Amino acid sequence: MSLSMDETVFGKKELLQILKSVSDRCVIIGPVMEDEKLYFRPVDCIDDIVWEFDNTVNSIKEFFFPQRQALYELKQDKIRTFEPDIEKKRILLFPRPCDVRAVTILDKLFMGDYEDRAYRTLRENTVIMGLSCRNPGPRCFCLSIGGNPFGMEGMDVSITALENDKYILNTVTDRGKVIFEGKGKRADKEEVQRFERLKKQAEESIKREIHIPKDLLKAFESDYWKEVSEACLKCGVCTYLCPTCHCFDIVDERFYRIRCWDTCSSDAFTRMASGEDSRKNKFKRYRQRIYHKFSYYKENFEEYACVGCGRCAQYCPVKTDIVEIVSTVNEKGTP
Amino acid sequence: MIGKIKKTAKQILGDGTVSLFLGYGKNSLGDTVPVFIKQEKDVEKLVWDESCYYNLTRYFTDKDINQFEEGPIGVLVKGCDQKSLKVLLSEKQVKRDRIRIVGLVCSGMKNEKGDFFTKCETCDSNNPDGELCDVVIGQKVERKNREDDFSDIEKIEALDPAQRQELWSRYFDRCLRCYACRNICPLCYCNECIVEQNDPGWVRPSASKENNLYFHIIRAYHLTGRCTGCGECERACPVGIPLRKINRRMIRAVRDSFDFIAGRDAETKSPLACFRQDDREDFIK
Repeated sequence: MSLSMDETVFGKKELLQILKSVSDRCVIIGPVMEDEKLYFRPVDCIDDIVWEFDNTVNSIKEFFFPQRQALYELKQDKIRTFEPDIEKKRILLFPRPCDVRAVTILDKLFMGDYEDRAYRTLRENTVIMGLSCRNPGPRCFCLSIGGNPFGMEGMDVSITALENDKYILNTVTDRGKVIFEGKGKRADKEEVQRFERLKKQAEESIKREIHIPKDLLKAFESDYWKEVSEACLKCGVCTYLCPTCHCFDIVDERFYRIRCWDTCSSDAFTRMASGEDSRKNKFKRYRQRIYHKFSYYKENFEEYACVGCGRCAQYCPVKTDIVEIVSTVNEKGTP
Repeated sequence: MIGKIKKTAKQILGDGTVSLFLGYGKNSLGDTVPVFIKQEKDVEKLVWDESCYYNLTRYFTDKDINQFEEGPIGVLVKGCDQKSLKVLLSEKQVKRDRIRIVGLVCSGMKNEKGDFFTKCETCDSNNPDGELCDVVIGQKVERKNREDDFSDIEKIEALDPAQRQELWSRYFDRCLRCYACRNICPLCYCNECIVEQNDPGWVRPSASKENNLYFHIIRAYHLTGRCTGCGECERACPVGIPLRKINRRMIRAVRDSFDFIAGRDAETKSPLACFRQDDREDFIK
């Protein structure tokens, strides 16, 4: 999406003021520092929000698909179901375009054939104000998987820092328009040109590319998967930090039935009550993660379940690099 | 040094002494990764620099590495890794004659920011124990014996209970329960971890304040008297929980109560894993 001259320009102070004016009616979620790392958290004080950063440790999926969610409670002979707490609307401030695009990918699952009511409620009560990515990180590869560092897909408002104290706003949806209507200054020609220039610069700075083989299924039985998963620890770092991974488990904790995140890399993921396990070895589990993202999800929803944020490669304790592994399947993996 | 490492690896792979060699290599991003070398020609993948922080002894108890059936495994170990290896040997998790140990003299490993890891700043094991190794590579460096330095723990202990509670709650609330800390630990090798038992389910699987706290307390206790402080748990943690500090607190407790530090030798059992009539009990009040 490119800009027209209908876009508005704000100073940081003005933006803060607008956000503060809605903050008593809304919960604001934004990137904040915690012990030298950046996380998306609901904030008490808007001034704590960080305006310039690479990307956060956590993605924003947890605000729509929480890590732990009580579904219902058994009380004597009654069942009490839980609905998400949406007393106040939420503003999700400054997620990167990749993370927002990931939510649109999750929408296809959670609001597709089988609708998840809780997910929809959270989704409909959240205004997403994304922040364009002027300096993509060394592990980013969004361009080669359908994203863009200045993308606006899924956003209600897209914000781009033009210079230190100047932000250009594109209100994509009506939900976004309501907040900023009649405020700010119209972007002039120069500002729009600067936006386009910054966009081009950001695109050009992304050096990593993923090449996804069209016939991935052909390599299913290849020993390649054993080779590339040897160092894997079977922990959940990649799946829990991934903005699109969405597998969950349903467990009983006292009188509560809980839905919580689960990971396909874990030993217990496919183990049945009998003790039988269809994915006993770690290569089978690692292969599942790759195939779910780049084959099955594509088949079901016409989209890859990956947005190129690079978190898995960055935080993996043994630095497993998904880009290298997927891109060389054809070369090394086809039997 | 890398020349000698490659030469040694090539030799023992070539003459069939080992069927697999565990070392350090690079991925396409330039990150250091553990590599599994099975053929002589792949020896060229080996690297040695200040980012070879992995404790490769972790893979000895990895049930998916079934190379042991085919023959002994060669492994690169730094002084700190060797302590874990000694515990594994004393707990009979690996047989000495099934491994070939290539000890590496190390003068400290650095994190992604380029700073030395805290464990390296107070390292007392730059030089691996020659008696246990088959080969030691590297020029001996001066030993900086600072194992009594528990100042990091003392700093936390100086806080009042409410502050300490607040500090650890902040960390544990953030825990994702990804179990990277458990899975990277060379000494967390239980066939079935208590957190995965569901009949009875001792530790609930979902991430919540109580469940996370419970998990971390159990983790700390299961490593008491066994943890050597290699710090891989802390490095693996994606949300920056200072796990090594917890383990170090327990290392000091065991040292004070039993005059025992895990990883000193490959024979002595952990005091919590055995009973002696002359066990000290003056700390029982």
